[in-house]
Amino acid sequence: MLRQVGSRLLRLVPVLFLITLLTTAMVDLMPGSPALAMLGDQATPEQVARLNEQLGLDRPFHVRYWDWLTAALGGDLGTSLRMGLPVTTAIAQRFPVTLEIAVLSVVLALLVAVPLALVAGARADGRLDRTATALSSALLSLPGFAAAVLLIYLLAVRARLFPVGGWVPFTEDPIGNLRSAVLPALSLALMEAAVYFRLLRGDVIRTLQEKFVLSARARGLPPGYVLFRHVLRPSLFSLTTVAGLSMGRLLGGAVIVESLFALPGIGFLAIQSVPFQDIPAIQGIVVVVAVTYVLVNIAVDVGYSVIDPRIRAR
Amino acid sequence: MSRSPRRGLRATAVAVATTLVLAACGGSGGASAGPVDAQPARGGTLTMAIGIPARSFDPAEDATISSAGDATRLAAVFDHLFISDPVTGEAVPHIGESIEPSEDGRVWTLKIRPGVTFSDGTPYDAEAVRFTYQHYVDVGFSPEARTIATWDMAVLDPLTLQITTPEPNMHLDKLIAQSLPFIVSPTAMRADPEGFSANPVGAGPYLLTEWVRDSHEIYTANPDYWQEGKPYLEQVRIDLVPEAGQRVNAIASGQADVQPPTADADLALFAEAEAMGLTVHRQDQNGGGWIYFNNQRPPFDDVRARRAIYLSIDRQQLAEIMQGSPDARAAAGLFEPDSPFHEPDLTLPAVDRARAQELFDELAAEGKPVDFVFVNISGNDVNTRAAQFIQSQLRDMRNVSMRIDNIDVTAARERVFLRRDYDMSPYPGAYRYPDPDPGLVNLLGSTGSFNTTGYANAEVDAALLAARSTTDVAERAASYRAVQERFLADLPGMFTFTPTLTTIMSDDVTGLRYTSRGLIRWDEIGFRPDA
Amino acid sequence: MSSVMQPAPPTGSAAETPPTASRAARRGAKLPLWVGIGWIAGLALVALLADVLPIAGYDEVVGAPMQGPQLTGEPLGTDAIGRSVLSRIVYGARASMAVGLTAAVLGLVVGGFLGLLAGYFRGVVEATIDILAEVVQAFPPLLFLIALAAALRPSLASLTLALAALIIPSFARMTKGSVVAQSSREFVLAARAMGASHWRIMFREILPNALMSIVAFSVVVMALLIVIEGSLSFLGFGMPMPYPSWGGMVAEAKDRIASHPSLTFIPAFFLFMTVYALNTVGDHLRRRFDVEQSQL
Repeated sequence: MLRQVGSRLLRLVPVLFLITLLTTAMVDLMPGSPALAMLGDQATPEQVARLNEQLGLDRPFHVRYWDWLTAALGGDLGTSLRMGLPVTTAIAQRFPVTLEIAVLSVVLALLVAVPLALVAGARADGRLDRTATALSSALLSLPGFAAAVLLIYLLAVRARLFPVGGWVPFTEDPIGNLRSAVLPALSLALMEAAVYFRLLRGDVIRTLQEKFVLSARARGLPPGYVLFRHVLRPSLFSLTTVAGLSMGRLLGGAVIVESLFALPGIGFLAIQSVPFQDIPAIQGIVVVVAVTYVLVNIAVDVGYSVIDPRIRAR
Repeated sequence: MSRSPRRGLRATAVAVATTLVLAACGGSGGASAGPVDAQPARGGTLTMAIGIPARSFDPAEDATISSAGDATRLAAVFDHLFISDPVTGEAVPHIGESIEPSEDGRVWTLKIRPGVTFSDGTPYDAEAVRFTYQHYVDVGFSPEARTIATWDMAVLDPLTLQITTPEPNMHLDKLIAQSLPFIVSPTAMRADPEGFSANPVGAGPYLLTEWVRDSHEIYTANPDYWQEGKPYLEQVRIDLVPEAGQRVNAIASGQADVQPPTADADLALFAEAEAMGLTVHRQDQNGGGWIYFNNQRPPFDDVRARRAIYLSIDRQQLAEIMQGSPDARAAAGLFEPDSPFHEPDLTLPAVDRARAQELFDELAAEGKPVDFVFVNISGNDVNTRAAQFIQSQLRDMRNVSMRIDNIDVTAARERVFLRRDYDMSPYPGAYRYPDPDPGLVNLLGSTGSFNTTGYANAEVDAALLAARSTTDVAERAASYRAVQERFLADLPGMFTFTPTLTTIMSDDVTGLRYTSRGLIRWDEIGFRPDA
Repeated sequence: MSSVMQPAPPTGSAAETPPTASRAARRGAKLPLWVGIGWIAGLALVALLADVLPIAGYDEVVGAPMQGPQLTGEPLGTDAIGRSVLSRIVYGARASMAVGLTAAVLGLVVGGFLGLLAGYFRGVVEATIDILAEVVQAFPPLLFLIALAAALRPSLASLTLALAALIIPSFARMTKGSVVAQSSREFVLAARAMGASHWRIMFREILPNALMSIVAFSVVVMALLIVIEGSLSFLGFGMPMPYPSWGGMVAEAKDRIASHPSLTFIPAFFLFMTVYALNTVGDHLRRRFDVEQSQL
């Protein structure tokens, strides 16, 4: 077990090395330079050259990468070219926003999917089941950007239930914070809910036919109790796994949703940094997102292998 | 200040945050002001929805002076040395009391109003102006830095600065008012040169009190502001809303009160905003949507190729499609009818597709087919529609073909502005000049900072210089007539729509005034007493 | 949308659909399946025949801009430039399908091959391929695509390549899972015992058995790719202009959803239906071929 975690963590080293190298290379290949992003349309070649020199961008590729790498190993991700802020500070400011949206969308999705899946699975092929299943297929086919456009139009512009965008920090106004987080979280939650629903519904149908459930029923236990106690519990783990994986993805920052709603999260930082060719910021985001992704995956895998025997044994 | 929602909000929007610096800049122009029908009440928090995130509060680092970007924020913190009149382009005294040329136009004397102090208590004086302009040169970001580098600046007394220029220029005041209005506190800048861009010290009506990057800033009224009784508002909040449609939504739903005046916007959105009961303020300007032809390489080094493109396109239709509204108007000439330099007989060529085809055939017969690349800057809907419409108009013509390369703004600067590796490419926004100096000089002069076309004509250069060395309107008009005649013969670039400086705001806002660049006069704006 | 960027669990993982689902459920599931097959077949036909259909060119201005759907004239109306929405939908279908199919096939071939190697040889080969896969998968996907799109010259080919690169790891992992499961089965062990060469075992014994599940997976991946292409076009980094893309059409029309809703809803509907159809067909195939999901 520990060995497995150890080897996965060890693998993170080459993965991070390759990812950061690849990022530097890609940004390097992009036409233009950060100097041009700062200097505007009327820059002269001399101005560009001078600024590139000031920014240290005139040095060869491998020197720049090596400098970044050695600094990064010491915990210094550099200074954003666009913002003039330490990258770690910038990311630390954005991460809570992305985290909140991710948690909220997973929670929203679970709140909808779990009860619906239990009821639908308990009466497989019932009217509710068929409606919910069809709906889940539909939600799975609705691209997130289209969902967000429609939600803004219907719930913010037409119904005025939520703000059309913007972010209110929790510390400033908890209720305003929640209001500004709902629509973006909902845009992301629709598809997650459909995934969770399908997963749990399948589990429920399968579990309901297992012997221990049948015998529990035969003993005259109330159906609701059986559903929660004997059916939901064994399914919880696979659900947690999938929810964990979607957290890993969502923490990468939902680029479209964050820029659509003007949320100062990781995804928005990314989409602002790319056209500017803000290499330190891009590099920092990539590192943080990759580490988060890999760690979440390891956690999920480890958790799975811990609980797997019990699940098999059931 | 939040207010109750208004009826019938329409239009939604979605964001593409790649909008780096696509808003208007360049020349400028426009009306005296916005609606100022009531003296603002004191107090309240005004929220502005803006498209581009704040990057730096060091004015020397703002190379574009875009009203949709840093410059609008700088205006709150630094106020204006002179106000660049949006209609005439004249320099109107503000903190600067006067600015006068010597008879030959080589030596300018700039006087500062006494008693103005920066928010750190240090005096706003001639030395501060000199220090700031020298700082522009040291930073070297903006095109003005190159101009300042040629000046000789001397502080004659605490409130008087003398500027000597290498060439006569009777219109230097217009450049200073338009492009160099923001003066920093030398004390603060020297104390913390690194930190200044995040902790600016100026003499403006508001102080930057909170800055959350890529989200919003909060500005609080400056208690020691030099104008008694101003500013009106207690606080200003500037919220980043990258998407144009979302900005309208935000104002209509009461989340924001105003957006900065810009000239490149989608007229359809403004129509929607008016339908929602919002106030839309408009002012036509000299200039236009502008598309560069690369005059320095085939096919557009041949005037027939440039003319053939003009003749192929119904520019009225193009203007309507670019701005998404039948209200759009094609630019008829280089100056609007109310300009003293307007020449009714000098108009841009009208569509004549048969003649265009003859020209394309003629060029092809000479072995010079008009096959070209249109480098489009992604993320700007107006320009993207222009590119696709122009292409659609050429698709059925013979001996001409157009490819669109869609690239981001940074890549475009490298390719179009630095390497000149393009055939046609749009100026991002609308090129405006209330007075042709310095806007038109920069656009058409062979060494002009916006002369991306590479157009060089000795006659034009001479006429521009002649106009620059006099203040006599008739003499200037004669010179600019020559420029216009030459322009129509050579067609170095394509003017598309007539630019309109446009603002959307809730009807509770009053005292909207702005400069030729569309920079708000923060000392004037506030809420109606009855709001 | 980051939630759709990872091909992990968008639809129909084996666990989602119970093997013991009742007959009625299976019968009920048939209708969407036929709708899906019909939609894909119809769309493929239209996409193939786009050039001979009696419609305007996708870059041709046919009338005033932003006309709504008309009974006579343009059946689906015109866009902001005055081009036929119908022909842009049709050519958009061609673009979406061409890009999606090519990228999926590329991903399948390269990823499948890597997965086969990893699953068969294990050890260092597997570790190397796993690391490469993790590099791509741990990358924020849209950032990966946007940076790649900016670095490469924008064209259909670079778009397709970038999408394929994104999808290769999923195919590799999926194939590996399949192969690992097959490797311990009797016929493989028997072939090994008989001294068959590695290549023979891989391509003759293991691959044919794993192939159908990989193909089934690739149908779902195509749906995913069409969504990703749509997202990219939505952000302005997709199909080169003036070539139409449904995602790009939604993006172009989004500011006018109130005054001209059809401009947003028509391409959104086609995008939705196509993804739905591919998902449904893909799910069905995966159920039939009982795709091993645990490795995804």
